[in-house]
Amino acid sequence: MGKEIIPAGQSTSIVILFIIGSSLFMGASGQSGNSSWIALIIAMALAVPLILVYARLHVLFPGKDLYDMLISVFGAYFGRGLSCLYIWYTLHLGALVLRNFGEFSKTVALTSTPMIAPMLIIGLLCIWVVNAGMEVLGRSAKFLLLFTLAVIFVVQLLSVPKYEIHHLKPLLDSGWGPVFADAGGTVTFPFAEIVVFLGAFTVLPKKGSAARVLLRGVLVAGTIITGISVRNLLVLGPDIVSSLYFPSYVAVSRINVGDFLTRIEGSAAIVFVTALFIKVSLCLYVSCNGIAKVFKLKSYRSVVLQMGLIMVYLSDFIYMDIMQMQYFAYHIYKIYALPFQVFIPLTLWASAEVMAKRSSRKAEASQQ
Amino acid sequence: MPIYIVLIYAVIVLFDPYGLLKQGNKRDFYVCSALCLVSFSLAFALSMHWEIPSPSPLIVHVVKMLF
Repeated sequence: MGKEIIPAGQSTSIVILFIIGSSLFMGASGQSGNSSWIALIIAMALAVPLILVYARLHVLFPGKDLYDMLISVFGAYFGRGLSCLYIWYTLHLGALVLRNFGEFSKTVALTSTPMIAPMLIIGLLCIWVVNAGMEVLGRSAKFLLLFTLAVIFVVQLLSVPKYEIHHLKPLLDSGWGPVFADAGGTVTFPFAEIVVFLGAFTVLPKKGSAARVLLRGVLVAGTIITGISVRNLLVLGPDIVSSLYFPSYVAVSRINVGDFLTRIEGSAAIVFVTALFIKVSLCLYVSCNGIAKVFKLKSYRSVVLQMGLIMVYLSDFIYMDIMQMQYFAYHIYKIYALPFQVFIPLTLWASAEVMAKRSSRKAEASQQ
Repeated sequence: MPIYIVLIYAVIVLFDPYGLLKQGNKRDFYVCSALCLVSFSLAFALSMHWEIPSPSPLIVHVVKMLF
């Protein structure tokens, strides 16, 4: 198999769809009520330094992915141990996202269908695309992003008659405390989840492209999430938004243009599925790539089917019910994800900078 | 349902791990077989409606213990 390279545009599409994946379903975490959009903007700003660290890793280790970096910096044993943690994280994240979709279909769309059925269908689709390779995923992401943006734009326009500006007032009613708490939570879910993309850094074309891809992706995805969050607030109001599991779906269901264009939420739900498909596929690819690196396999494709099936089964028994899912997503995940998104990458970056300086000094000394 | 699972996994084993063995990728075959065993065990347990312990309560416990 030749080395897979995907252009920056397709990588950016993957990053955008990955970040908006679950947020389209679940909305952003919300103690801040009608000021949640401010929390989203702050979170976007807080995520930028982290994104720059991730991008710097690509410059320090050109042509290497997260697992190669961990093994070359921390050594064969400790590096492989940390790689196993990331394999778990990506497998778990993929299962969590699949479960979001399962709960969504069970609660609002396919209420009589067993939850595992839609999750298995999406899971098999992800297995297929990951087996086909990252190039296929990139091309799918580019097409699906255009479709997603078009649907989101049309839905935003159709929602305008339902906007009630008073829902946004009074601004910062409960003060800055909840806004900063929400901003902290929103950094980890969804923005810093893009740490998963480090596991696919080998597909990026050249040395400096990671910063462009990641920053563009985070800014566009952040703008989309903020736009959707403001729409939900304007249509439903902060009290209803905070009481719903899937506020976007309900906000779209309120659209009624002349008693003719109504109940389009089913069609809008296709967008949820497209974003989720890309997110789960990237998680599956990165976990399989990790297994291939840790066990020195010939190709990650050898384990795609089994890892994909394990991911689907895990998503079935990971939570007891939707309340546990909501609690985990908004209260536990932001702390659970910190080591994977912040501590380990920062340690890796600091160690890599020291190693790079040492090697450049050695090179200078040998020249003299 | 458990019978279907066994039949489906018989086909999966034939195509996935055994296919790797036929290609001569021994290391890939061993890892794939181990994962296949895990995957089959989970599928069989789910089809039998056995209770599989979820990792979530453990994670919640650890996070609550730390913070």
